[in-house]
Amino acid sequence: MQAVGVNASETNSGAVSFLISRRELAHDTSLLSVEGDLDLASAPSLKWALEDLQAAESRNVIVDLARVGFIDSTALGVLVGAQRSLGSGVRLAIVCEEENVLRIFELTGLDGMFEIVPTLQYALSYIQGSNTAAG
Amino acid sequence: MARRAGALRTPSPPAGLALALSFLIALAALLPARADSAKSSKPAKGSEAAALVPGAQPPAAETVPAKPVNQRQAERLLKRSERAAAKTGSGGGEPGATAVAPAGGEVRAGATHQGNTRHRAGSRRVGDGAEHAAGRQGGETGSGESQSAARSVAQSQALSTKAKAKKEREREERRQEREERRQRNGHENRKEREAREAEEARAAETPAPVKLLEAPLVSAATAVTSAASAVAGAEATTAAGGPAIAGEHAVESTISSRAAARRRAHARRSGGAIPTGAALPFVALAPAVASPTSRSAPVHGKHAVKHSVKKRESSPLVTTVTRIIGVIPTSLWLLIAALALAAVAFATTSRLSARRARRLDRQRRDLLEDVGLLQAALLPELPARLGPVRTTASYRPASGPGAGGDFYDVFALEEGKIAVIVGDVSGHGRDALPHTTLLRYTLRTYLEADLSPREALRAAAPALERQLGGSFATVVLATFDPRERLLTYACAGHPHPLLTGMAHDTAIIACSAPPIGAGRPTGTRQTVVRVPGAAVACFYTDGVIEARTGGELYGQGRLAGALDGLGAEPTAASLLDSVRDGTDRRPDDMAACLLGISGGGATPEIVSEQIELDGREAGRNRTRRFLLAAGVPERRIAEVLDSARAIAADHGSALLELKLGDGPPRMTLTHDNIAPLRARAIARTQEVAL
Repeated sequence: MQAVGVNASETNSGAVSFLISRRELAHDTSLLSVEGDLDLASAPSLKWALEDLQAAESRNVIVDLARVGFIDSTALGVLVGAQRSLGSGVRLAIVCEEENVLRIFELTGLDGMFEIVPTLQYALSYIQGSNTAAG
Repeated sequence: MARRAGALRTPSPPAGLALALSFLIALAALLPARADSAKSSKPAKGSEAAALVPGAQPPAAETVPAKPVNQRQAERLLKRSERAAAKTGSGGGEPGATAVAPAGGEVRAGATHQGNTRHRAGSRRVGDGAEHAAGRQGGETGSGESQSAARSVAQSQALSTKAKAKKEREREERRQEREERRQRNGHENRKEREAREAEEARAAETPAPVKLLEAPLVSAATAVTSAASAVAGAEATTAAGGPAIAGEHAVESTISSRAAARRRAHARRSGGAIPTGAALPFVALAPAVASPTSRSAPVHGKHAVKHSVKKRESSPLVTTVTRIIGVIPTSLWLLIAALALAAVAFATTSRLSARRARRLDRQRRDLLEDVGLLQAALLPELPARLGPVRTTASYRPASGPGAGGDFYDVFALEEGKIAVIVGDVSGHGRDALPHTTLLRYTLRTYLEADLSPREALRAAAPALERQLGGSFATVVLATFDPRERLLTYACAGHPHPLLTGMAHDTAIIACSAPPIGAGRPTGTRQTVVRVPGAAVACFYTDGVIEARTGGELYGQGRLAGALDGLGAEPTAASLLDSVRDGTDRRPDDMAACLLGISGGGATPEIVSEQIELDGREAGRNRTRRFLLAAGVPERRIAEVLDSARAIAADHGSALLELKLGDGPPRMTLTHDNIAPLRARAIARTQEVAL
């Protein structure tokens, strides 16, 4: 696993580390694992990581938000931008089980825009063409 | 003579001077014999004096044939001229202007019309003194005044034989003293030596009867010059022994007002101004500051060396200061000079930066005013009430004074309805400004065209998306009908509004419409709330609920609590203040807009939910969740979705409306009710069908 971005977002209770790591999977798929809160401070890191993937011409992308506690509108905007810039044959899946994050996706109406699945396995199934996990 | 007087440079011609001059004219007429003899000896005048006195004003020399006058007359004249001199000295703006005048009627410095060598030498010498002063002071002089004064006095003087004898004696004494001082100072220039020799020669003979003094000016502001001390010396002499010619040949005084003279001399040395009308006739003004550089300070007063010495002794302050200054080494002087320069530099720098600061402050105020004007264009001033509804709004940018990505508007529609727009463009600050204006005015236009909030969003979103250029925006549109007491709102990726009296999580968030610019159709949801009693509807941007408190999100729950805690008539500003007080980090802009609806105690309730479904949406899990949340029985879900898919297949989308109330909702499925906005597309379809 290769760390592609490290950021620290500060809160009153102390510094919460933010980390994005990237891993190449089968089926021409890249996995971005995000850890920490995705907010105004950390969203740019996610954006750069996604732009790197596009530059590397990855066919499919899985963004793992399993260890993300919060996502704000800026980070959502980054994901929207990534989704819109992907080519027709490219699939983007988001792995997320966290209620807070799912609710934010739902509130903003973006849950209909992304393929949001509870586990990495579902994501891989979706990438491989199975549509069973569609939310 | 009068003409010449006019030619003199007198910055502020005093009345006393004019009087003195007229008196001189009269005297000139009374003294023909002396004048004749003087003229015969040397007809050319004035110009030579000017040539001999480098620092002096051009036609400085005045020649007045003089003859002995009686004592009383002389005294009057002296007093008058002194007043004139004092007046010019202090009123003419020349600091420390010096005027020296003879008391004895013998012409000294600068008076050349007598044409004899001695006198020329004398004048040259005084000229030297003046040169010293003028050279150091940059040639600024107060000649006119002193000359006039001197002139008027000189004319009045007659020299008695007795006086001559005494004068000779005193002259000798002064000469010796000067010699001593020169030796002390180690400085004696040639001109001075010549002058002294000439003087000695003259002293041997009987002095010429009556000559008019033309006093060379000793420069103004001679504070730190040798001239200063020279004049001071002259003053001492004058004070003690009576009138003296400016640093030159002393003459017998016919006036003795010694006590006054002493006081004045002392005052002068210690920097005091010369009192007008004081008794001392001949004024030699010198700033009291003794000069450390008084290298060549010849004693000019010839009279009363004893008096002079005595005078110095009687001024211990001056003596002490002079001594102290005298022992300061050159290196220290250099250091003082450097420090003075540094002080001047610092003062200049400080002044410049103060000016710059003032200018920047002014520019900042102007800019803030401009920003305020622009912000007012983006964030309108709301009327306190719109019909029966109190309206307040507040905006808190995350940084800086200007508006950022949040926007709001509240305005009246037809039939007494009120419209609300609150939105947030991705990003903030000035980059978002063009988009916020675009969104606000576009959405307002659709609402004013009498579309419902959902219809307005549905119709405006495609056009806006093209213009947002990759950005996206969340927005909530609402209308309130006071007669029906119905609040209708539609969100596009935006938090639902809060209503007091209704749980904050009542709204169905499943199947929320996406933001404008996300690449998906929006304006797919609408909620209608009946507000039977008093309530406050709170519209806000996500910056409010995403503020942090101790690492946690502020959230809708806390916001609803804060709203309830504000009492019966909360304002948006007080709500945001409350949020600010309850959070420690507010990374995003915050905007809030409140509608205060008056009424009884009944609580609001949702009466209708609308959702627009296309074929794909109708088959998704989230649609099932929405139906379940709205209270649709599970067994009817499949049937409803099948019908919706069928309609969507024909018309692109189906509009499902759920009338909520007691029991299961009444459902109505229609095809897209914004068909009028797509009339052209429908007509084409019909043509194809035919």
